[in-house]
Amino acid sequence: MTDSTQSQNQMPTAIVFDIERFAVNDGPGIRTVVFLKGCPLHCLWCHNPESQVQPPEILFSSQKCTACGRCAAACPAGAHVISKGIHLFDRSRCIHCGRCVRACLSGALELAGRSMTVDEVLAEVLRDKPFYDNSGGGLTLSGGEPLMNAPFALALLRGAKEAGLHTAVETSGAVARETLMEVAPYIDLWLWDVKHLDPACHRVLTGGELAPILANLEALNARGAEIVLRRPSIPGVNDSPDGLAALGALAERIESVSAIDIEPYHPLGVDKARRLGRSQKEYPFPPKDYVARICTEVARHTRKPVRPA
Amino acid sequence: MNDRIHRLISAAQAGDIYPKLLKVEYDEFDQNLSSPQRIAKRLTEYMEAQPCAFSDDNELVGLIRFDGSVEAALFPRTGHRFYRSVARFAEGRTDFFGNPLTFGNLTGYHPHFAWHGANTKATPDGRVAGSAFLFGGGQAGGKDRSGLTSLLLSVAHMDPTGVMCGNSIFNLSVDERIVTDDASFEKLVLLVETYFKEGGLHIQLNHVSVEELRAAQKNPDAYKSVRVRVSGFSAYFVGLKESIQDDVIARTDHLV
Repeated sequence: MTDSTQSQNQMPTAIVFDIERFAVNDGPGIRTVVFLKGCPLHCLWCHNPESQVQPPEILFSSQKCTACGRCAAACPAGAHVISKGIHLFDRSRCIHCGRCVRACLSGALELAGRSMTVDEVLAEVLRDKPFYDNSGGGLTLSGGEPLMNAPFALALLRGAKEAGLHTAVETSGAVARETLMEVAPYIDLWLWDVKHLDPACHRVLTGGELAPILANLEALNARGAEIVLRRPSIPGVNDSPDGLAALGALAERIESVSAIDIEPYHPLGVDKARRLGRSQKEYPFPPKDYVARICTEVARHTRKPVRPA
Repeated sequence: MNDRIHRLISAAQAGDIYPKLLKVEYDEFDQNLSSPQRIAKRLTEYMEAQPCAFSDDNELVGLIRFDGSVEAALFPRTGHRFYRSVARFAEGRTDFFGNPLTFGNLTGYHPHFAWHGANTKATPDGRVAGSAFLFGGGQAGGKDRSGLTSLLLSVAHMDPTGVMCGNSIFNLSVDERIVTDDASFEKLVLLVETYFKEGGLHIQLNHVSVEELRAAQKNPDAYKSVRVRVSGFSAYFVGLKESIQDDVIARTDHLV
Protein backbone atom coordinates (compact mmCIF):
# COMPACT_ATOMS: atom_id res chain seq x y z
CA MET A 1 0.00 0.00 0.00
CA THR A 2 1.45 3.35 -0.90
CA ASP A 3 1.67 6.03 1.72
CA SER A 4 -1.44 8.23 1.43
CA THR A 5 0.44 11.54 1.55
CA GLN A 6 2.80 10.35 -1.14
CA SER A 7 -0.04 9.42 -3.49
CA GLN A 8 -1.70 12.77 -2.71
CA ASN A 9 1.39 14.55 -3.93
CA GLN A 10 1.64 12.41 -7.03
CA MET A 11 -1.97 12.87 -7.97
CA PRO A 12 -3.27 15.97 -6.23
CA THR A 13 -7.00 16.57 -6.07
CA ALA A 14 -9.05 19.64 -5.34
CA ILE A 15 -12.70 20.45 -4.79
CA VAL A 16 -13.77 22.17 -7.99
CA PHE A 17 -17.12 23.96 -7.99
CA ASP A 18 -17.19 25.23 -11.53
CA ILE A 19 -15.35 25.15 -14.83
CA GLU A 20 -16.48 28.00 -17.02
CA ARG A 21 -15.69 27.82 -20.73
CA PHE A 22 -15.66 30.82 -23.10
CA ALA A 23 -14.76 33.20 -20.30
CA VAL A 24 -13.99 36.65 -21.69
CA ASN A 25 -13.44 38.73 -18.55
CA ASP A 26 -10.70 36.74 -16.84
CA GLY A 27 -7.58 37.49 -18.80
CA PRO A 28 -6.66 37.90 -22.46
CA GLY A 29 -8.38 36.01 -25.26
CA ILE A 30 -10.91 33.23 -24.88
CA ARG A 31 -10.29 31.30 -21.67
CA THR A 32 -11.53 28.57 -19.39
CA VAL A 33 -11.78 29.44 -15.71
CA VAL A 34 -11.39 26.70 -13.10
CA PHE A 35 -12.96 27.58 -9.74
CA LEU A 36 -11.59 25.92 -6.61
CA LYS A 37 -13.40 25.80 -3.33
CA GLY A 38 -11.97 27.33 -0.18
CA CYS A 39 -10.96 30.87 0.75
CA PRO A 40 -9.08 32.37 3.70
CA LEU A 41 -11.24 35.51 3.42
CA HIS A 42 -15.00 35.97 3.60
CA CYS A 43 -15.76 39.23 1.91
CA LEU A 44 -19.21 40.54 2.75
CA TRP A 45 -20.15 41.01 -0.92
CA CYS A 46 -18.76 37.71 -2.24
CA HIS A 47 -20.27 36.77 -5.61
CA ASN A 48 -19.47 33.10 -5.03
CA PRO A 49 -20.32 32.34 -1.39
CA GLU A 50 -20.24 28.65 -2.30
CA SER A 51 -16.49 29.10 -2.68
CA GLN A 52 -15.75 30.26 0.86
CA VAL A 53 -15.73 26.86 2.54
CA GLN A 54 -13.49 24.10 1.22
CA PRO A 55 -15.66 20.96 1.51
CA PRO A 56 -18.58 20.44 -0.91
CA GLU A 57 -21.85 22.01 0.18
CA ILE A 58 -25.51 21.52 -0.55
CA LEU A 59 -27.59 24.41 -1.88
CA PHE A 60 -31.28 24.11 -1.12
CA SER A 61 -34.03 26.17 -2.82
CA SER A 62 -37.10 26.00 -0.61
CA GLN A 63 -39.33 27.51 -3.29
CA LYS A 64 -38.65 24.53 -5.56
CA CYS A 65 -39.26 21.99 -2.81
CA THR A 66 -42.45 19.93 -2.95
CA ALA A 67 -41.76 18.17 0.39
CA CYS A 68 -41.98 14.83 -1.37
CA GLY A 69 -39.46 13.30 1.03
CA ARG A 70 -37.29 11.55 -1.55
CA CYS A 71 -34.23 13.33 -0.18
CA ALA A 72 -35.04 12.16 3.34
CA ALA A 73 -35.32 8.59 2.11
CA ALA A 74 -32.01 8.83 0.27
CA CYS A 75 -30.01 10.58 2.98
CA PRO A 76 -27.75 8.22 4.94
CA ALA A 77 -27.11 10.79 7.66
CA GLY A 78 -30.66 11.82 8.53
CA ALA A 79 -29.99 15.42 7.52
CA HIS A 80 -33.27 15.80 5.58
CA VAL A 81 -36.51 15.47 7.50
CA ILE A 82 -40.08 16.11 6.38
CA SER A 83 -42.10 17.23 9.36
CA LYS A 84 -45.73 18.38 9.11
CA GLY A 85 -45.36 18.90 5.38
CA ILE A 86 -42.27 21.05 5.78
CA HIS A 87 -38.78 20.13 4.66
CA LEU A 88 -36.17 20.61 7.39
CA PHE A 89 -32.50 20.42 6.49
CA ASP A 90 -30.05 19.88 9.33
CA ARG A 91 -26.74 20.92 7.81
CA SER A 92 -24.78 19.78 10.84
CA ARG A 93 -25.56 16.19 9.87
CA CYS A 94 -24.80 16.59 6.19
CA ILE A 95 -21.88 14.56 4.87
CA HIS A 96 -22.28 16.09 1.38
CA CYS A 97 -22.47 12.73 -0.37
CA GLY A 98 -24.93 14.12 -2.97
CA ARG A 99 -27.47 11.29 -2.76
CA CYS A 100 -30.25 13.75 -1.97
CA VAL A 101 -29.33 15.82 -5.04
CA ARG A 102 -29.80 12.79 -7.28
CA ALA A 103 -33.03 11.85 -5.54
CA CYS A 104 -34.64 15.28 -5.82
CA LEU A 105 -37.00 15.55 -8.79
CA SER A 106 -37.70 19.28 -8.53
CA GLY A 107 -34.13 20.50 -8.75
CA ALA A 108 -34.35 21.99 -5.28
CA LEU A 109 -31.00 20.54 -4.24
CA GLU A 110 -27.58 21.15 -5.76
CA LEU A 111 -24.12 20.06 -4.74
CA ALA A 112 -21.43 22.69 -5.02
CA GLY A 113 -18.01 21.18 -5.40
CA ARG A 114 -16.69 17.82 -6.45
CA SER A 115 -13.28 16.29 -6.14
CA MET A 116 -11.24 16.25 -9.34
CA THR A 117 -7.67 15.30 -10.18
CA VAL A 118 -5.30 17.54 -12.08
CA ASP A 119 -5.57 15.25 -15.11
CA GLU A 120 -9.36 15.44 -15.12
CA VAL A 121 -9.34 19.23 -14.92
CA LEU A 122 -6.65 19.58 -17.56
CA ALA A 123 -8.56 17.28 -19.93
CA GLU A 124 -11.63 19.52 -19.61
CA VAL A 125 -9.58 22.70 -20.07
CA LEU A 126 -7.77 21.37 -23.14
CA ARG A 127 -11.05 20.76 -24.99
CA ASP A 128 -11.06 24.43 -26.02
CA LYS A 129 -7.41 24.58 -27.08
CA PRO A 130 -8.26 25.67 -30.67
CA PHE A 131 -9.94 28.75 -29.21
CA TYR A 132 -7.00 29.56 -26.95
CA ASP A 133 -4.52 29.16 -29.80
CA ASN A 134 -6.49 31.48 -32.02
CA SER A 135 -7.14 34.21 -29.45
CA GLY A 136 -4.13 34.23 -27.14
CA GLY A 137 -6.32 32.75 -24.42
CA GLY A 138 -5.78 29.92 -21.95
CA LEU A 139 -6.45 28.81 -18.40
CA THR A 140 -7.45 31.04 -15.49
CA LEU A 141 -7.36 29.59 -12.01
CA SER A 142 -9.89 31.12 -9.62
CA GLY A 143 -12.23 30.33 -6.75
CA GLY A 144 -12.34 31.00 -3.72
CA GLU A 145 -8.65 31.35 -3.28
CA PRO A 146 -7.13 28.84 -5.72
CA LEU A 147 -3.66 29.03 -4.15
CA MET A 148 -4.98 27.65 -0.85
CA ASN A 149 -4.48 24.25 -2.44
CA ALA A 150 -0.84 24.72 -3.38
CA PRO A 151 0.05 21.20 -4.61
CA PHE A 152 -2.98 21.09 -6.90
CA ALA A 153 -2.53 24.62 -8.22
CA LEU A 154 1.14 23.99 -8.92
CA ALA A 155 0.50 20.71 -10.71
CA LEU A 156 -2.34 22.17 -12.78
CA LEU A 157 -0.42 25.28 -13.78
CA ARG A 158 2.60 23.18 -14.67
CA GLY A 159 0.45 20.92 -16.80
CA ALA A 160 -1.12 23.91 -18.53
CA LYS A 161 2.28 25.41 -19.35
CA GLU A 162 3.49 22.07 -20.68
CA ALA A 163 0.47 22.04 -22.98
CA GLY A 164 1.44 25.47 -24.26
CA LEU A 165 -1.35 27.42 -22.57
CA HIS A 166 -1.24 31.00 -21.29
CA THR A 167 -1.99 30.92 -17.55
CA ALA A 168 -3.64 33.45 -15.27
CA VAL A 169 -4.55 33.36 -11.58
CA GLU A 170 -7.28 35.32 -9.81
CA THR A 171 -6.05 35.65 -6.26
CA SER A 172 -6.69 37.57 -3.06
CA GLY A 173 -2.99 37.48 -2.28
CA ALA A 174 -3.79 36.13 1.19
CA VAL A 175 -1.55 33.10 0.84
CA ALA A 176 1.82 32.00 2.11
CA ARG A 177 4.82 33.67 0.49
CA GLU A 178 6.38 30.27 -0.25
CA THR A 179 3.31 29.24 -2.20
CA LEU A 180 3.42 32.38 -4.29
CA MET A 181 7.06 31.90 -5.15
CA GLU A 182 6.52 28.24 -5.95
CA VAL A 183 3.73 28.86 -8.47
CA ALA A 184 5.09 32.12 -9.90
CA PRO A 185 7.24 30.54 -12.64
CA TYR A 186 4.10 28.93 -14.10
CA ILE A 187 1.91 32.03 -14.07
CA ASP A 188 1.84 34.47 -16.97
CA LEU A 189 -0.65 36.92 -15.48
CA TRP A 190 -1.66 37.72 -11.91
CA LEU A 191 -5.15 39.13 -11.37
CA TRP A 192 -4.72 40.51 -7.87
CA ASP A 193 -7.70 41.61 -5.76
CA VAL A 194 -7.43 44.86 -3.82
CA LYS A 195 -10.58 45.03 -1.70
CA HIS A 196 -9.86 47.98 0.61
CA LEU A 197 -6.70 49.90 1.43
CA ASP A 198 -7.56 50.88 4.98
CA PRO A 199 -6.32 48.09 7.30
CA ALA A 200 -9.17 48.36 9.81
CA CYS A 201 -11.85 48.41 7.13
CA HIS A 202 -10.12 45.55 5.30
CA ARG A 203 -10.24 43.46 8.47
CA VAL A 204 -13.96 44.07 8.99
CA LEU A 205 -15.00 43.67 5.37
CA THR A 206 -12.92 40.62 4.43
CA GLY A 207 -11.94 39.00 7.70
CA GLY A 208 -8.29 39.17 6.67
CA GLU A 209 -5.23 41.34 7.21
CA LEU A 210 -4.16 43.84 4.56
CA ALA A 211 -0.45 44.06 5.39
CA PRO A 212 0.59 40.53 4.35
CA ILE A 213 -1.34 40.91 1.09
CA LEU A 214 0.53 44.10 0.23
CA ALA A 215 3.83 42.55 1.27
CA ASN A 216 3.16 39.63 -1.09
CA LEU A 217 2.36 42.09 -3.87
CA GLU A 218 5.69 43.80 -3.37
CA ALA A 219 7.51 40.47 -3.36
CA LEU A 220 5.97 39.56 -6.69
CA ASN A 221 6.79 42.97 -8.01
CA ALA A 222 10.45 42.36 -7.16
CA ARG A 223 10.28 39.22 -9.34
CA GLY A 224 8.94 41.20 -12.26
CA ALA A 225 5.61 39.43 -12.65
CA GLU A 226 2.79 40.82 -14.80
CA ILE A 227 0.07 42.03 -12.43
CA VAL A 228 -3.37 43.50 -12.97
CA LEU A 229 -5.02 44.91 -9.87
CA ARG A 230 -8.70 44.05 -9.55
CA ARG A 231 -11.11 46.14 -7.52
CA PRO A 232 -14.60 44.79 -6.82
CA SER A 233 -16.26 48.15 -6.47
CA ILE A 234 -19.04 48.07 -3.86
CA PRO A 235 -21.21 51.21 -3.69
CA GLY A 236 -20.70 53.02 -0.41
CA VAL A 237 -18.09 50.55 0.82
CA ASN A 238 -14.81 51.03 -1.00
CA ASP A 239 -15.53 53.79 -3.51
CA SER A 240 -14.80 56.90 -1.51
CA PRO A 241 -12.56 59.49 -3.27
CA ASP A 242 -9.75 58.76 -0.76
CA GLY A 243 -10.04 55.05 -1.31
CA LEU A 244 -9.92 55.40 -5.08
CA ALA A 245 -6.95 57.76 -4.82
CA ALA A 246 -5.13 55.18 -2.72
CA LEU A 247 -5.85 52.51 -5.35
CA GLY A 248 -4.43 54.69 -8.10
CA ALA A 249 -1.39 55.47 -5.96
CA LEU A 250 -0.80 51.77 -5.33
CA ALA A 251 -0.79 51.06 -9.05
CA GLU A 252 1.73 53.85 -9.57
CA ARG A 253 3.98 52.58 -6.79
CA ILE A 254 4.05 48.91 -7.88
CA GLU A 255 5.98 48.87 -11.16
CA SER A 256 4.81 45.46 -12.32
CA VAL A 257 1.19 46.53 -12.24
CA SER A 258 0.11 46.97 -15.86
CA ALA A 259 -3.52 47.99 -15.33
CA ILE A 260 -6.44 48.22 -12.92
CA ASP A 261 -9.71 46.38 -13.57
CA ILE A 262 -12.84 47.75 -11.93
CA GLU A 263 -15.55 45.15 -11.40
CA PRO A 264 -19.05 46.32 -10.53
CA TYR A 265 -20.88 44.77 -7.61
CA HIS A 266 -23.70 42.36 -8.43
CA PRO A 267 -26.05 40.82 -5.83
CA LEU A 268 -25.41 37.35 -7.30
CA GLY A 269 -24.19 36.06 -3.99
CA VAL A 270 -27.24 36.93 -1.91
CA ASP A 271 -29.53 34.23 -3.23
CA LYS A 272 -26.72 31.68 -3.33
CA ALA A 273 -25.89 32.41 0.30
CA ARG A 274 -29.53 31.89 1.22
CA ARG A 275 -29.51 28.55 -0.52
CA LEU A 276 -26.41 27.65 1.43
CA GLY A 277 -28.24 28.30 4.66
CA ARG A 278 -26.41 31.56 5.29
CA SER A 279 -27.37 35.16 4.92
CA GLN A 280 -25.47 37.84 3.04
CA LYS A 281 -25.86 41.58 3.05
CA GLU A 282 -27.32 42.98 -0.13
CA TYR A 283 -25.66 46.18 -1.29
CA PRO A 284 -27.33 48.68 -3.59
CA PHE A 285 -27.22 47.71 -7.25
CA PRO A 286 -24.85 50.12 -8.99
CA PRO A 287 -26.33 52.41 -11.67
CA LYS A 288 -25.35 51.93 -15.33
CA ASP A 289 -22.58 54.53 -15.43
CA TYR A 290 -21.08 53.50 -12.08
CA VAL A 291 -18.05 51.60 -13.39
CA ALA A 292 -17.22 54.33 -15.87
CA ARG A 293 -17.28 56.94 -13.10
CA ILE A 294 -15.07 54.85 -10.82
CA CYS A 295 -12.59 54.29 -13.66
CA THR A 296 -12.42 58.02 -14.36
CA GLU A 297 -11.84 58.81 -10.69
CA VAL A 298 -9.08 56.23 -10.21
CA ALA A 299 -7.47 57.28 -13.49
CA ARG A 300 -6.86 60.74 -12.00
CA HIS A 301 -4.28 59.17 -9.71
CA THR A 302 -2.40 56.89 -12.10
CA ARG A 303 -1.08 56.90 -15.63
CA LYS A 304 -1.76 53.18 -15.97
CA PRO A 305 -4.94 52.07 -17.75
CA VAL A 306 -8.03 51.79 -15.54
CA ARG A 307 -10.70 49.77 -17.28
CA PRO A 308 -14.05 48.10 -16.64
CA ALA A 309 -13.74 44.36 -16.04
CA MET B 1 -38.01 29.52 -62.84
CA ASN B 2 -36.10 29.02 -59.60
CA ASP B 3 -34.44 32.38 -59.95
CA ARG B 4 -37.77 34.16 -60.27
CA ILE B 5 -39.21 32.37 -57.26
CA HIS B 6 -36.10 33.26 -55.26
CA ARG B 7 -36.43 36.90 -56.13
CA LEU B 8 -40.12 36.85 -55.31
CA ILE B 9 -39.45 35.35 -51.92
CA SER B 10 -36.75 37.92 -51.15
CA ALA B 11 -39.01 40.76 -52.23
CA ALA B 12 -41.88 39.42 -50.15
CA GLN B 13 -39.65 39.08 -47.10
CA ALA B 14 -38.38 42.61 -47.53
CA GLY B 15 -41.95 43.85 -47.61
CA ASP B 16 -41.53 45.21 -51.12
CA ILE B 17 -44.42 43.23 -52.53
CA TYR B 18 -47.50 41.87 -50.90
CA PRO B 19 -47.78 38.27 -51.99
CA LYS B 20 -50.97 36.56 -53.02
CA LEU B 21 -51.21 33.02 -51.81
CA LEU B 22 -52.25 30.48 -54.42
CA LYS B 23 -52.72 26.80 -53.97
CA VAL B 24 -51.28 24.50 -56.57
CA GLU B 25 -53.91 22.15 -57.89
CA TYR B 26 -52.74 18.81 -59.16
CA ASP B 27 -55.14 16.58 -60.99
CA GLU B 28 -54.94 12.86 -60.71
CA PHE B 29 -52.96 12.53 -63.91
CA ASP B 30 -50.24 14.83 -62.56
CA GLN B 31 -49.95 12.95 -59.31
CA ASN B 32 -49.25 9.77 -61.16
CA LEU B 33 -46.47 11.32 -63.19
CA SER B 34 -43.23 9.56 -62.52
CA SER B 35 -40.97 11.90 -64.37
CA PRO B 36 -39.56 14.92 -62.49
CA GLN B 37 -39.14 16.75 -65.79
CA ARG B 38 -42.84 16.44 -66.52
CA ILE B 39 -43.75 17.67 -63.07
CA ALA B 40 -41.44 20.66 -63.45
CA LYS B 41 -42.89 21.45 -66.88
CA ARG B 42 -46.42 21.21 -65.52
CA LEU B 43 -45.51 23.54 -62.61
CA THR B 44 -43.95 26.09 -64.94
CA GLU B 45 -47.05 26.08 -67.11
CA TYR B 46 -49.21 26.49 -64.04
CA MET B 47 -47.22 29.41 -62.67
CA GLU B 48 -47.04 31.22 -65.95
CA ALA B 49 -50.79 30.84 -66.32
CA GLN B 50 -51.50 32.61 -63.05
CA PRO B 51 -53.04 36.08 -63.18
CA CYS B 52 -50.54 38.62 -61.92
CA ALA B 53 -50.10 42.32 -61.50
CA PHE B 54 -46.94 44.15 -62.43
CA SER B 55 -45.21 46.93 -60.62
CA ASP B 56 -42.27 49.00 -61.81
CA ASP B 57 -39.78 47.13 -59.67
CA ASN B 58 -41.02 43.59 -59.81
CA GLU B 59 -41.65 41.14 -62.58
CA LEU B 60 -44.33 39.18 -60.84
CA VAL B 61 -46.52 39.94 -57.88
CA GLY B 62 -47.66 36.62 -56.65
CA LEU B 63 -46.36 33.71 -54.60
CA ILE B 64 -47.32 30.14 -54.75
CA ARG B 65 -47.42 28.12 -51.61
CA PHE B 66 -47.28 24.41 -51.94
CA ASP B 67 -49.55 22.43 -49.72
CA GLY B 68 -47.44 20.01 -47.69
CA SER B 69 -49.81 17.17 -48.38
CA VAL B 70 -49.30 17.49 -52.12
CA GLU B 71 -45.57 17.53 -51.61
CA ALA B 72 -45.87 14.43 -49.52
CA ALA B 73 -47.57 12.53 -52.24
CA LEU B 74 -45.01 13.61 -54.83
CA PHE B 75 -41.88 13.39 -52.75
CA PRO B 76 -41.14 9.68 -53.08
CA ARG B 77 -41.32 9.97 -56.83
CA THR B 78 -39.77 13.34 -57.39
CA GLY B 79 -37.80 14.55 -54.38
CA HIS B 80 -36.05 11.25 -53.82
CA ARG B 81 -35.13 10.93 -57.47
CA PHE B 82 -33.95 14.50 -57.54
CA TYR B 83 -31.68 14.04 -54.55
CA ARG B 84 -30.37 10.75 -55.86
CA SER B 85 -29.40 12.35 -59.13
CA VAL B 86 -27.63 15.18 -57.33
CA ALA B 87 -25.85 12.66 -55.11
CA ARG B 88 -24.70 10.73 -58.15
CA PHE B 89 -23.37 13.91 -59.67
CA ALA B 90 -21.53 14.90 -56.49
CA GLU B 91 -20.03 11.47 -55.86
CA GLY B 92 -16.29 11.46 -56.38
CA ARG B 93 -16.21 15.14 -57.35
CA THR B 94 -14.28 17.66 -55.36
CA ASP B 95 -14.38 21.43 -55.13
CA PHE B 96 -11.58 23.86 -55.91
CA PHE B 97 -9.91 23.11 -52.58
CA GLY B 98 -10.09 19.35 -53.02
CA ASN B 99 -12.98 18.82 -50.58
CA PRO B 100 -15.72 16.39 -51.58
CA LEU B 101 -18.81 18.16 -52.90
CA THR B 102 -21.74 18.26 -50.54
CA PHE B 103 -25.21 19.56 -51.14
CA GLY B 104 -27.94 20.63 -48.79
CA ASN B 105 -31.60 21.33 -48.55
CA LEU B 106 -32.00 25.04 -47.88
CA THR B 107 -35.77 25.27 -47.71
CA GLY B 108 -35.83 27.06 -44.37
CA TYR B 109 -39.59 27.19 -44.10
CA HIS B 110 -41.26 26.14 -40.91
CA PRO B 111 -43.96 24.05 -42.65
CA HIS B 112 -41.18 21.84 -44.04
CA PHE B 113 -39.60 21.27 -40.65
CA ALA B 114 -42.99 20.75 -39.12
CA TRP B 115 -44.00 18.25 -41.79
CA HIS B 116 -40.80 16.21 -41.56
CA GLY B 117 -40.97 16.31 -37.79
CA ALA B 118 -44.56 15.14 -37.81
CA ASN B 119 -43.46 12.02 -39.65
CA THR B 120 -40.45 11.23 -37.49
CA LYS B 121 -40.40 9.50 -34.14
CA ALA B 122 -38.40 10.76 -31.14
CA THR B 123 -34.73 11.49 -31.84
CA PRO B 124 -31.71 11.06 -29.55
CA ASP B 125 -31.24 14.80 -29.09
CA GLY B 126 -34.32 14.88 -26.86
CA ARG B 127 -36.78 15.88 -29.53
CA VAL B 128 -40.20 14.30 -28.90
CA ALA B 129 -42.01 12.26 -31.55
CA GLY B 130 -43.97 14.35 -34.01
CA SER B 131 -42.48 17.71 -33.11
CA ALA B 132 -40.89 19.97 -35.71
CA PHE B 133 -37.28 19.57 -36.71
CA LEU B 134 -34.76 22.20 -35.79
CA PHE B 135 -33.69 24.86 -38.29
CA GLY B 136 -30.25 23.60 -39.23
CA GLY B 137 -27.45 22.11 -37.16
CA GLY B 138 -26.64 23.06 -33.62
CA GLN B 139 -28.52 23.04 -30.39
CA ALA B 140 -32.17 22.28 -29.97
CA GLY B 141 -33.75 24.99 -27.85
CA GLY B 142 -32.19 24.92 -24.41
CA LYS B 143 -30.43 21.61 -24.94
CA ASP B 144 -26.84 22.76 -24.99
CA ARG B 145 -25.35 22.87 -21.50
CA SER B 146 -21.64 23.34 -21.99
CA GLY B 147 -21.59 26.79 -23.52
CA LEU B 148 -20.58 28.40 -26.80
CA THR B 149 -17.16 26.86 -27.30
CA SER B 150 -18.48 23.34 -26.79
CA LEU B 151 -21.38 23.93 -29.16
CA LEU B 152 -19.18 25.40 -31.89
CA LEU B 153 -16.66 22.59 -31.63
CA SER B 154 -19.41 19.98 -31.87
CA VAL B 155 -20.91 21.56 -34.99
CA ALA B 156 -17.55 22.27 -36.60
CA HIS B 157 -16.40 18.69 -36.12
CA MET B 158 -19.52 17.18 -37.69
CA ASP B 159 -18.72 15.39 -40.93
CA PRO B 160 -20.83 17.15 -43.56
CA THR B 161 -20.44 14.23 -45.94
CA GLY B 162 -21.87 11.85 -43.36
CA VAL B 163 -25.42 13.02 -43.93
CA MET B 164 -26.94 13.14 -47.41
CA CYS B 165 -28.25 16.67 -47.04
CA GLY B 166 -25.09 17.96 -45.40
CA ASN B 167 -24.89 20.27 -42.41
CA SER B 168 -25.51 23.48 -44.24
CA ILE B 169 -27.01 25.79 -41.66
CA PHE B 170 -25.97 26.75 -38.15
CA ASN B 171 -27.85 29.44 -36.26
CA LEU B 172 -26.40 31.07 -33.19
CA SER B 173 -28.04 33.54 -30.90
CA VAL B 174 -25.82 35.73 -28.79
CA ASP B 175 -26.85 38.37 -26.34
CA GLU B 176 -26.78 41.92 -27.68
CA ARG B 177 -24.16 42.86 -25.11
CA ILE B 178 -21.53 40.83 -26.92
CA VAL B 179 -21.80 43.04 -29.98
CA THR B 180 -22.17 46.37 -28.22
CA ASP B 181 -18.99 46.00 -26.17
CA ASP B 182 -15.78 46.33 -28.22
CA ALA B 183 -13.69 43.88 -26.22
CA SER B 184 -16.39 41.21 -26.22
CA PHE B 185 -17.06 41.68 -29.92
CA GLU B 186 -13.40 41.10 -30.69
CA LYS B 187 -13.62 37.81 -28.84
CA LEU B 188 -16.76 36.86 -30.74
CA VAL B 189 -14.84 37.40 -33.96
CA LEU B 190 -12.05 35.13 -32.73
CA LEU B 191 -14.59 32.56 -31.62
CA VAL B 192 -16.19 32.44 -35.06
CA GLU B 193 -12.80 32.39 -36.76
CA THR B 194 -11.79 29.38 -34.68
CA TYR B 195 -15.08 27.70 -35.58
CA PHE B 196 -14.27 27.94 -39.29
CA LYS B 197 -10.68 26.83 -38.78
CA GLU B 198 -11.99 23.75 -36.96
CA GLY B 199 -14.09 22.79 -39.97
CA GLY B 200 -17.26 24.82 -39.56
CA LEU B 201 -19.02 25.54 -42.86
CA HIS B 202 -21.64 28.13 -42.10
CA ILE B 203 -22.82 30.36 -39.28
CA GLN B 204 -25.57 32.92 -38.81
CA LEU B 205 -25.64 35.23 -35.85
CA ASN B 206 -28.64 36.78 -34.15
CA HIS B 207 -27.93 39.43 -31.62
CA VAL B 208 -31.25 40.92 -30.69
CA SER B 209 -32.08 40.75 -27.02
CA VAL B 210 -34.77 38.38 -25.85
CA GLU B 211 -36.56 41.25 -24.14
CA GLU B 212 -36.75 43.14 -27.42
CA LEU B 213 -38.16 40.12 -29.23
CA ARG B 214 -40.77 39.45 -26.58
CA ALA B 215 -41.73 43.11 -26.64
CA ALA B 216 -41.96 42.88 -30.42
CA GLN B 217 -44.36 39.96 -30.10
CA LYS B 218 -46.62 42.01 -27.87
CA ASN B 219 -46.36 45.25 -29.81
CA PRO B 220 -45.35 44.53 -33.39
CA ASP B 221 -46.00 48.03 -34.68
CA ALA B 222 -43.22 49.46 -32.54
CA TYR B 223 -40.68 46.89 -33.74
CA LYS B 224 -41.32 46.90 -37.49
CA SER B 225 -37.64 47.29 -38.36
CA VAL B 226 -36.23 44.53 -36.16
CA ARG B 227 -34.62 41.95 -38.39
CA VAL B 228 -33.49 38.51 -37.34
CA ARG B 229 -31.89 35.76 -39.29
CA VAL B 230 -33.91 32.62 -39.52
CA SER B 231 -32.30 29.68 -41.29
CA GLY B 232 -31.27 30.78 -44.77
CA PHE B 233 -32.76 34.27 -44.81
CA SER B 234 -33.21 37.48 -42.93
CA ALA B 235 -36.73 38.41 -42.00
CA TYR B 236 -38.60 41.13 -40.27
CA PHE B 237 -39.35 39.54 -36.92
CA VAL B 238 -42.88 40.88 -36.70
CA GLY B 239 -43.66 39.39 -40.08
CA LEU B 240 -42.80 35.87 -38.99
CA LYS B 241 -45.32 33.28 -37.92
CA GLU B 242 -45.62 33.03 -34.15
CA SER B 243 -44.13 29.54 -34.09
CA ILE B 244 -41.00 30.80 -35.89
CA GLN B 245 -40.86 33.81 -33.57
CA ASP B 246 -40.98 31.50 -30.56
CA ASP B 247 -38.23 29.40 -32.11
CA VAL B 248 -35.95 32.40 -32.61
CA ILE B 249 -36.57 33.42 -28.99
CA ALA B 250 -36.15 29.93 -27.56
CA ARG B 251 -32.84 29.39 -29.33
CA THR B 252 -30.28 29.38 -26.58
CA ASP B 253 -29.23 32.89 -25.75
CA HIS B 254 -25.59 32.91 -24.77
CA LEU B 255 -24.93 35.58 -22.25
CA VAL B 256 -21.47 36.96 -22.02
